[in-house]
Amino acid sequence: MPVLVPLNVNVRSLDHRPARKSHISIRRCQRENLDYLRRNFSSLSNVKDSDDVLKPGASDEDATEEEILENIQRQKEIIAAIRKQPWRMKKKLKTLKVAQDYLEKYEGKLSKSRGYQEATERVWKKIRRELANFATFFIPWDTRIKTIESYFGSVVASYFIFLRWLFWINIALSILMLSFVVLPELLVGLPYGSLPRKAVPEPEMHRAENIATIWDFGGYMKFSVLFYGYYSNQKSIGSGYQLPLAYFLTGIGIFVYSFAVILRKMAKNSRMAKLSTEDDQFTFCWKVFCGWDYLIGQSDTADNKFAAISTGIRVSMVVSIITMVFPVFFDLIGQMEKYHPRVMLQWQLARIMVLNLGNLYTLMIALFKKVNNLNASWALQNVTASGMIQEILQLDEHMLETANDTQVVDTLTRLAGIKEQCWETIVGQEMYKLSVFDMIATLVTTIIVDFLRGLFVRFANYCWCWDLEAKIPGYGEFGVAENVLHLIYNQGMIWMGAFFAPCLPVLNVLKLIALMYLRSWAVIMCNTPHQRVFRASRSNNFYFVLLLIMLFLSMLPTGYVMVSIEPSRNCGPFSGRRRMFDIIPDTVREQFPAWLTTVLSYMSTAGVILPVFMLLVMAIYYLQSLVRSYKEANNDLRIQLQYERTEGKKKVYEMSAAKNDQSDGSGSSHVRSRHKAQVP
Amino acid sequence: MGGSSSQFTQEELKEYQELTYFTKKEILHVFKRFYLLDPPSVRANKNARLPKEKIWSLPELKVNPFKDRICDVFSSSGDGDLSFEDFLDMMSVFSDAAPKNVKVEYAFKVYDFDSDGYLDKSDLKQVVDRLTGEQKLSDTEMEQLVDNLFEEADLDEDDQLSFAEFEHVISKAPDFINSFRIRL
Repeated sequence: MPVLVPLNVNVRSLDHRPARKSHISIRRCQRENLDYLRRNFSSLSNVKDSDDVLKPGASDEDATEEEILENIQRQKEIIAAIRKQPWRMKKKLKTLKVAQDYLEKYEGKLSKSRGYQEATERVWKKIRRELANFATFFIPWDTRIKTIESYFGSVVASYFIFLRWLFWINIALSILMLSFVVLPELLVGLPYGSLPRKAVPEPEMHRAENIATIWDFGGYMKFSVLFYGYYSNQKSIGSGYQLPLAYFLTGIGIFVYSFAVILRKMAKNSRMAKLSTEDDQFTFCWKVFCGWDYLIGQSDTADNKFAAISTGIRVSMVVSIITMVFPVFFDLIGQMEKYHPRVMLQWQLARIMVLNLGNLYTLMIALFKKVNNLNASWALQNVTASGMIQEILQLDEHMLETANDTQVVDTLTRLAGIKEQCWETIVGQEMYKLSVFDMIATLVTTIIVDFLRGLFVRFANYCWCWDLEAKIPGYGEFGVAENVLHLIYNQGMIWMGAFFAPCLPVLNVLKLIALMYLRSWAVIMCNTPHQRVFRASRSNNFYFVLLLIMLFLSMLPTGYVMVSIEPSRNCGPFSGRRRMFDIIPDTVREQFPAWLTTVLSYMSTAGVILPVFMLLVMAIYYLQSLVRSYKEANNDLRIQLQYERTEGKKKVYEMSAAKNDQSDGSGSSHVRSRHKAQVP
Repeated sequence: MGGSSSQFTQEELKEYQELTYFTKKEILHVFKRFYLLDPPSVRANKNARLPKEKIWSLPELKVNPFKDRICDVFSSSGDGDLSFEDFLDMMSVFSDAAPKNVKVEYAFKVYDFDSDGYLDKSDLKQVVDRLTGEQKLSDTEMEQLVDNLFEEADLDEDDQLSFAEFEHVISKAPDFINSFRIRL
């Protein structure tokens, strides 16, 4: 195999180094390269060291361009794989140098086109590395999280890492909303006051700057880019930017982006944890080898950890002894498992999750009820208004000829003095208020429950009967699970409200920053490391699954609004349409060739949707059965392994015992054949 | 402290980036921490070998029950003293970006107290001893625990764990990657 031939040539052509020394060191490295190659490319396993190294080398004209290219590829793979080897730095450096020397020497000999290809690859790699270097500047709060890790271990720190990840998602959502919806309207759209929908109406003017109104997000804030109602429904603003279409698509894009990001993270996590390992298969090994948290850097935390490990080992041993001696107790212990702290914690989490969802859905239902009432009262007002409008029209027929629908309605309502309601803006206001109130509540609870409690325990301890620090009430412990759920609930609020209040993600970014500082201060100042240490769940994906469920459930109200409810007639980018969703077919019809409309209308008929749906169901069923069969195969292999250990060992003993007998005895052939027949 | 980046040429930094799981900024940060352990020696010679007691005084390692084993494993001179390259290697393996198989290899070396390539009874006993701190297990409990460990992991029943058996057990552990980390 010509793999090493060019390297051999390398040896002979290096005149500037003392030939002997370079020959030896390069030969050693060739052997190492070969070791690596042998480990990873089994087709070369039959190649021996000595043969190729000492083979009289062909000159490099014999090595064709293809072979050189192949070798270059291999050297690159070797370079990429060096850091994975458990070698000393010196060895790694040497291997790297040999591979790099080869590359330097031979890349120049390639033909021009290949040379360009290689050069672009090199430049691209350099750019990627520079970007990675640059990106490390943007990791915020690193020192803070590191301090928490050293005090509290990796479980508590995981909450803060999760918060930071949510922070990045919200920044991305804000950028999406800002760049496609808010900024165009601000910069190019009609300014404040030009339309009735964009101005604080006369009756409300005198209250517009009161604190109460600002707290309610009313007044000037209500008629600004913060809310859905401000955006005009003109088909295009400025030099042709279609704002209503952009608004709709960005609203959908937010959910799509969130789904993609969460699923990608979950996939990465589940690649780490392989499926179908029984939980109790390796309890002791995992307790011993994975028990120590190397991030711990404080002696108090370390002492707690020692105690936790020691207790954990003892408990597991007692349990295993009991189940071994009294198998009947195995069931009992299974029953007791139901009351294991982890199970209690999961039940508690489920309860909190249901409560939070109930909160949000109650809010949604109340808001929908209010919307219906508004529409009813608007209908009522219409009846009385129509009378007034008849009168006004009779006065000014000219108006009808020169204006379009919404302009007429705007003017008439202004003239008739009817208060217009914009239910989407109301929904947006509720969302903002909820978010702000939640922040204030968190602040107050943290201060009272953690900080004041800590102060009380610390100072009242001097003059109290019992030891406040060691017993009740003691210092608070950081409840990771509850806090993570709070974050998930918060994010669900944002997803529900982002369509009606485009700047809500921005508010959330500020809120998360504040939360990060508040919580990290509280945890270091007022909390102690956990006495008992256990993880809320075995896999890292537990919280992401909850987040995914929350995303799905938050998407439903917005989806329902988009396809079923009639948008307000006087505000927002979809006013005047029958449904918000109608903007898509309208755009397709107006701006794309006719055949696309026909295709899309076919695609949305039952004749296409039903088969697609059935196909998806079949695909899911197939993948499920695949997973099941893999689990069974894994199980079978494990049983086989057990079998090999017990039965296989017996056979080996029998065989060797038989061999011993045979060698002790006369060694006659019939004995041998008899034993041969016995051994399967 | 302004001299840290001028201690290395661009070539060297690039090579270190190729060979470890660090970016340039992280490599310089690691060097800075190394320098702070003993500024005079490192300033004089950046390849100086620092004695293991100095390495143990790092806050990240101070309370670690395996700190001596970690230094022994990564020390190229075999006695626990680390040069900067050894230290960089060590921090690279313990960093977040290092893949599982690299960590598993080095975890095995750390737990192998007598460095014979196998985890036998005495190795395991020492590991458990270090892990339990002050509340040591009694002799019977220790025996029982080691038996349980062998029962779970020792597939060829030779009363010692080879690397393959160790890897078979640890690679399925969900906690391993998270706990086998050190951040500078």
